[in-house]
Amino acid sequence: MSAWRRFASTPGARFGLAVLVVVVVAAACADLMPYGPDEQHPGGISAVLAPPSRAHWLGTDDRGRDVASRLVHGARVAVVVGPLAVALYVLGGMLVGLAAALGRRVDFVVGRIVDVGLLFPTLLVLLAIQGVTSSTSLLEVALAIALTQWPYVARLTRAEALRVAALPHVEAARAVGAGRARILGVHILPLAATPALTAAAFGIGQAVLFETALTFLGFGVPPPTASWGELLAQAQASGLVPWLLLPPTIAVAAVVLACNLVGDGVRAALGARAD
Amino acid sequence: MTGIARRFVVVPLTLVGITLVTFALLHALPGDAALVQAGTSRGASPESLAAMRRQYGLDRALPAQYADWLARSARLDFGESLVDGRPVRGKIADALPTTLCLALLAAALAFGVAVPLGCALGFFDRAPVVRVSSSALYLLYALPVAAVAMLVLRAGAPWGARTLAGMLPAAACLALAETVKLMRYQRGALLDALAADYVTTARAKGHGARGVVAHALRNTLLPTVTLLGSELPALLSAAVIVEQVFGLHGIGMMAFDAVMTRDVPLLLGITTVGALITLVAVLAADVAYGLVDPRLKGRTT
Repeated sequence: MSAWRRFASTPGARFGLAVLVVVVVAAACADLMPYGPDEQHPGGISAVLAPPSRAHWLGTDDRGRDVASRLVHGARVAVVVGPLAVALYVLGGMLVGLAAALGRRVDFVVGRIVDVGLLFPTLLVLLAIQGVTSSTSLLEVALAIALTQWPYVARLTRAEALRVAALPHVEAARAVGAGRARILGVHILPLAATPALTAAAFGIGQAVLFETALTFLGFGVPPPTASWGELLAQAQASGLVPWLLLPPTIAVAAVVLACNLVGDGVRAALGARAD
Repeated sequence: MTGIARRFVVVPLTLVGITLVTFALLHALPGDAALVQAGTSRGASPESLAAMRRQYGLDRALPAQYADWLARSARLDFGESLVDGRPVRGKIADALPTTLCLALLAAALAFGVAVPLGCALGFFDRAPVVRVSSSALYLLYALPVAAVAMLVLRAGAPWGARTLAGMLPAAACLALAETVKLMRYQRGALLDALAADYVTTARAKGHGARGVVAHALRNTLLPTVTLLGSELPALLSAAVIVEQVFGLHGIGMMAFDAVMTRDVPLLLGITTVGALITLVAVLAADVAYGLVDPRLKGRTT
């Protein structure tokens, strides 16, 4: 069966893909929303925290801004930060994990670095990044997520690389005199990359969850940028009004669910065993 | 070296590694403890700043400062908080019980719900109800912790609770994602076990459903326990959000405040204690696993 057929025959994978396409299109067309993300309703105090109405489908926030518009604009943050963070940490984690196949000593060092990375507190990473760059843009948030997540990919790739390195075709390559770099890149990497690539599909959803949590705590995307975590933070600040609380919750859940369903499909497509 | 002995060497090494990176990171940030302190009393003269740096030992080389810190923290003396001057050890000791209660309660909830449900999902794998509930579980897994916590709070859960019972809703929010993860794992493990030869033998010998599950369950419980141990860092970092929403004064909130105020000694103390707890938990899980499952003797994970 072709990879696409295996993907498409996984329950929910096509639905997940469709949801992701809708989110990406919405993010791209966010400017078509009737209000700008930072546009305050000129109604004074009565337009602040207004419940949903015909003019404002999802009501307004504590500054009189249209929640529906901010929700759609928030999709841009998710669409950029999720894949960016995952690309960064899958690449980094894969390289570190692959290095374990270079020999026992390298493997020991890699193992210890991964141990430290796995236990490293996320908040500190963020503080360090903010301290060094003195700002938080989408890239810094993605970097913070990547810096805390790469050890998991490194661990997965390490285990797989060590397994593949013991396979006969690697021994054969070594016997005919292939160099270290060639063995790693041509004979080990393609086989050892499967778990990391599967993790990447799930990782985008996790990265969106992460970004939401960071921004909610005030460490992520800075205001006034519209993002789903910021909407949740506003919900908390304004007495848990449902029209600020539910829309970002549903948006995040939809994206994460879709990523997990697509991840199942990718796992099936790559022929990996489901656990 | 056997796997366990190796672990006992690796744990202190990891701990030193974490504190070293944290130490270097916090001291690489622009501004130092003296500037943070002086920030509250504006217009500190260069002389008083220099005096303060001498007092905290900030004028010495970084490796010397780290060696000094390491020697003191080996005796669990993490210095004083820059914000209120209280000993870091005392501050952590005050906040730790809250977070530990929260995390242990969450772990117990996750384990208590995930194992029976995961087994049920695995055993009745073909039933349509199970297929539907698997999808529902996926949805629960996708919800952001902050949103779940706020929804539970809105539904009437107590804010700023100090009793174990009052912390139950917060612990449930913390446990949600882990429960789904463990449940999926338990289901997969049971499915594997049910397909194993020894379970077929049990069936052939005439065991009913209960006997078959009992056979399969014994071999699947331990990996689940170990998984829970390795999920502790995730639980502890998610605790920040739950503590923030439910107004609990735990380690998570303390770390959050310490980051906000650049309280370096407190941050170092929290990082060290957090890493220590996690390492001990993982080690304990590994030791228990090795004791019960003789197949793993001498194997390194």
